[in-house]
Amino acid sequence: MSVLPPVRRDRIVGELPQCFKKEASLHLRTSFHPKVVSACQEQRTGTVGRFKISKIIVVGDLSVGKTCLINRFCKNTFDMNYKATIGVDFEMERFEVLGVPFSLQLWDTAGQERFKCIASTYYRGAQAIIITFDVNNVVSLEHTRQWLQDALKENDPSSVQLFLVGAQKDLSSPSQYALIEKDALKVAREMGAEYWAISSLTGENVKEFFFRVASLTFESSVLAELEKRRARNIGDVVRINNNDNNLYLTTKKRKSKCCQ
Amino acid sequence: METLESGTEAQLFWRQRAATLSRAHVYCMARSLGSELQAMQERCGPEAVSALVPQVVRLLELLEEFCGTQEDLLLRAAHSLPRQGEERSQSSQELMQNLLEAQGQNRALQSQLSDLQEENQKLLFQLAESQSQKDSVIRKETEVMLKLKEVVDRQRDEIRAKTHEIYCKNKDTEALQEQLDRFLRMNEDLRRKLAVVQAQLKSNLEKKADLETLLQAKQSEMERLAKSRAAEIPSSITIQESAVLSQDEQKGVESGTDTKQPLFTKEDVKQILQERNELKTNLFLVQEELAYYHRELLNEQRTPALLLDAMKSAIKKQRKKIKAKMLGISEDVDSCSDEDDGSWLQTSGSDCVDSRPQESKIKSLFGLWYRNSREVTVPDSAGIWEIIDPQEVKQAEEDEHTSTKD
Repeated sequence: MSVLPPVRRDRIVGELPQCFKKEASLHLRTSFHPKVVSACQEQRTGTVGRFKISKIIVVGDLSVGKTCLINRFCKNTFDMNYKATIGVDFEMERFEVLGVPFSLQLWDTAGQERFKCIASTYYRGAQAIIITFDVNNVVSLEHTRQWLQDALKENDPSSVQLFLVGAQKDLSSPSQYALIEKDALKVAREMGAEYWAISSLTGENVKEFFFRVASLTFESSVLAELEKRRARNIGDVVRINNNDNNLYLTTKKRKSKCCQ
Repeated sequence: METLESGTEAQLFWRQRAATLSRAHVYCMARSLGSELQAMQERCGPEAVSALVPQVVRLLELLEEFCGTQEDLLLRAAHSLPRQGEERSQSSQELMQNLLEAQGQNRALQSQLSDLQEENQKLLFQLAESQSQKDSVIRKETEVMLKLKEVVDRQRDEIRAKTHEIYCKNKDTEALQEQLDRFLRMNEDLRRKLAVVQAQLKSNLEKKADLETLLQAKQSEMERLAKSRAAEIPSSITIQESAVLSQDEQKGVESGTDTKQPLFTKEDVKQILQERNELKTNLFLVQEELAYYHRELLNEQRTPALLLDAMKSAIKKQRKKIKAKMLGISEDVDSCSDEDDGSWLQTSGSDCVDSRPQESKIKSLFGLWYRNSREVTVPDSAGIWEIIDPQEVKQAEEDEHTSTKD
């Protein structure tokens, strides 16, 4: 029995969604980690099973389409008019991955420079960083490095997952797109990020992308949880051993005393 | 030394008169001649004396024979002297004649010998001359050879230098080619970028034109709005958003009478955002809860009011946790409670849901509207979650706000 109702039927993930480009992906495994699968089957997911939220932050230059991307996925809407995001905004999206409820909290940050100081206070504690750029704007791609650097100041680079997303693909001709994709793949490889190209207008790849994000963050969360538990168990064992040693020592002492 | 001695001895023999010449003398002469010829052969090669040797040998043989016959004659004469006393005059005359003959022969031989010696001398001279000529030729040849060698060496060095030069040149061309390739690539890259930037520029210009027209329309609209609501506090969200200013702008709400729009500081914006996030979180939770109850209703699983009440508070507690997670606030009492499995089933007395700031900025901005809404507020009906519609959810929210404020 849970407070939360069952998740929407189109937010259920049964199999690991595949990456967009093999050249720049977080990993190339075709299915979930076997440990994760067995943990989910045996309901050993710990906090993940109860109510786990992964914080995702979306950063990038102004007007590249961060808000539109989130709105397309969460609300299935698209607004042609540009409206700057003030500071930050967020949307909740609930999933069910391998039968386990899992929520993504998508933080939409302002791209405008004057809001950066406010938006950056929301960077902390992210599990994944989605760095967005406009595929029709080379400069926005160049700025992604700076955005990543700023976002990583507040996060642990070893545990956070990175996604490089090229938006507004519908506005780019195939030849133009092919050109920028080459550069984008290079940048993604350098960052260690997974590359995706989407269109919020047509909805191309939007759902696939967020499903991938949800699956990968879920996987890493469960793995981290399992690791934590394992570490705790090991701690127990060590403690018991310590006790044993103490006992041994004391008996020895006693013995020696006896001998004297 | 020996040869020299024999030479002087031989010279003595050479001075013998023809009558006293004996075989031994001839042998001595032959020896000295032999050694002489030997020396000559060593000096001038075997060809120089090869023609001479048989002649000399023949001459010496003749001389030996002559001496032999003379001695025989002498011995016989000595033997026959006592016996043939009477024939002495006759035989002495004969002897005299023989002697004269022999002397004549000897003289002839001697002249022949001197001729030969002369010839020998001449040949030796010629030999020396030819030798010197040969030497000079060899010298010239070696000189020419040396010159040639020098020339060859020089040419070889030149060739080596040229080869090295060619190698260097090749290297240079390779490097240049590489550079050229790089430049070509760079050029291509730049051209590509230029094309992209140009396309962008075009689209940006279009966008700019669009935006300008939009801006003009907005400005005229704003002016109209400002005029129409000169004294009122603006309540539309869009004006608020456009009016948000960065920190370097003036603090406070109003800067003058010319603009009726309120100005915000960074702190204000932060606070407003915080509130908005909280409200949104609440909205999310309430919506989820609503969906939950909807489901319950659809399933027609009615639960007693008492249990519902208990559940409600438990749900609120869990909501608090979820909210803390969503807003990134550290949970206060039972933080990171992975272990307390059934905690949410335990009913807790505290019904405080939200820890919101004392003074709501949004509310102060919407003061007028809020005052009205507060009057409309319906008291919270606990336990009757069955009758839920969005309107009521909103009201419940507002109620919570007001209650916490009071």
